[in-house]
Amino acid sequence: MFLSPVAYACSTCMVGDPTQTLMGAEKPYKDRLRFSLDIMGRDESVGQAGVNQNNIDEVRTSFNLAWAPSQRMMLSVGVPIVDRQLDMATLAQEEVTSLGDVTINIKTFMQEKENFVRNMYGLLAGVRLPTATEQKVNGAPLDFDVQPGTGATTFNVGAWYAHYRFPWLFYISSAYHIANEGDQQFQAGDALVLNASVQYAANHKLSFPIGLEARWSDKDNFAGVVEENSGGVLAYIAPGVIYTLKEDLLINFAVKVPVVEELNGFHEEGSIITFGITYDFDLHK
Amino acid sequence: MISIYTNRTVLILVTLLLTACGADNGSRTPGVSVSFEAMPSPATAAVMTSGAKTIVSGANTIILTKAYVTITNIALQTDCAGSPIFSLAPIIDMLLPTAYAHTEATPTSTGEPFVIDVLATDNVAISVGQVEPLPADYCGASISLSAADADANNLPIGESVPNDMVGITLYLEGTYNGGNAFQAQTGATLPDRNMLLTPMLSLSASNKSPTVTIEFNYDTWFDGVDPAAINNTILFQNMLNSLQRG
Repeated sequence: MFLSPVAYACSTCMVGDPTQTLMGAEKPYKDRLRFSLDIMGRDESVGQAGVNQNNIDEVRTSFNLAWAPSQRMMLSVGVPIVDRQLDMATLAQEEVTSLGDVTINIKTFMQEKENFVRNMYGLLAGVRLPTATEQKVNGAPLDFDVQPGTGATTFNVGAWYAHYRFPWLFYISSAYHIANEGDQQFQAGDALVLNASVQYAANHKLSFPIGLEARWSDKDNFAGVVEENSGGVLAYIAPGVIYTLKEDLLINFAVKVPVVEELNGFHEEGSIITFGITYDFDLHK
Repeated sequence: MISIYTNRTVLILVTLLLTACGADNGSRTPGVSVSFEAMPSPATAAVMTSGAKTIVSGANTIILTKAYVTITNIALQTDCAGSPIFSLAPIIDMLLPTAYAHTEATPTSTGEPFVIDVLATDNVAISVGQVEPLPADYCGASISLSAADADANNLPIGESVPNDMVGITLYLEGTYNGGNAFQAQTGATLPDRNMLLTPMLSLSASNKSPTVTIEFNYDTWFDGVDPAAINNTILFQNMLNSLQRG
């Protein structure tokens, strides 16, 4: 197969692997630069129905940029815009649209070879910064559940492994999250997050990933008082689809359905819908 | 080498991002709340303005020159069926000793003591508290009367009332039948006045912030009471009976 100069500049050509990869699962090459726009919708209820239940609806739009300074490292930054609505048991309603907490992540690639490798692995580390402004009305802070961020700095460290064997992609990562105290004396419980996915490509333009996203977290507390309706185990199964609209431009859609909800107290999380586009900047023509 | 196309794309994305970051706002729509108000309101006598009030009770003519009552709590109730005394004033057979209780506010109870000046202008309501309960049907309200503490609202400071009403539940002062002075007071906790709310107070999205007004029909307080030898039990019973929904 002959590759034209333009085709040779395509991101999959640069890594020698036609696997469609969303942000975070890509193979790096020096100066690889990717952008993604992800829109996520979710809902959650905390508290006892008919007593003190808060219902939260959230739409989060994230602008993400990832750059590889070398074939051994990817750096990424995520800037979310958060729209949250809180419906309280008293019929009071609060709504916020604001910049959320910015995340910065680093991912290393530690496999022996750099090119044409099928098995890749490395370490993950990241920080979520308290860039969201605590939202107030008439000087009084809105409920913590509707705030666009926690006001805390959260660190995470972990590891990942991927096996690329077109048309298959297997990916697994895990990270431990720990945070300091945030606004309203909130202290998030530590969390362990696991992501695993299998992706099958029907052809070079269409793939079907299915993932398992699980999280264990300790109980949160406010001013040292444990929030009983927090923490526990939650796992989603997440089938999706990825389609190449044009060269270097992917569109993806997924539905995450909770399959394990062993959350403490009165706390339920609903399904999550995600939609996104991922674009590779062409820096190598 | 970064192409012009890439530069333009980055510029568009940065513009989009900055525009989105500029969206920074929060809002709050209040939920269900019930406001409680209280006011002096004669049952049958003519309405009077603030100041000394004249009450004709049987053969006696009483002029009240000071009259204060302390409401320490108002609580909404959802179950009135099991209480035979709902809508009726309780029969006073025992007064509890003085309790300087600042009861705790809950979504259904005010928990905040408030001293009512019964000699204020009739039928002019003043706010005595607010609660933010869950949407539901509330059949009654329990009104607690006990001694004011130093943090009570509307203490009659500078009005020559003993201890500015601190430690006092009810204080009356005046004259009867042409200048004979009398005084009555208690610091006891009176039995709760359980008032039936008819029609029922239904709180919902279409009725989110109603007001419940409590009337003091003070012109009935001296019914059957000999002002020359005041029987506190009858007087206090009359006062409890006089609390009505406005």
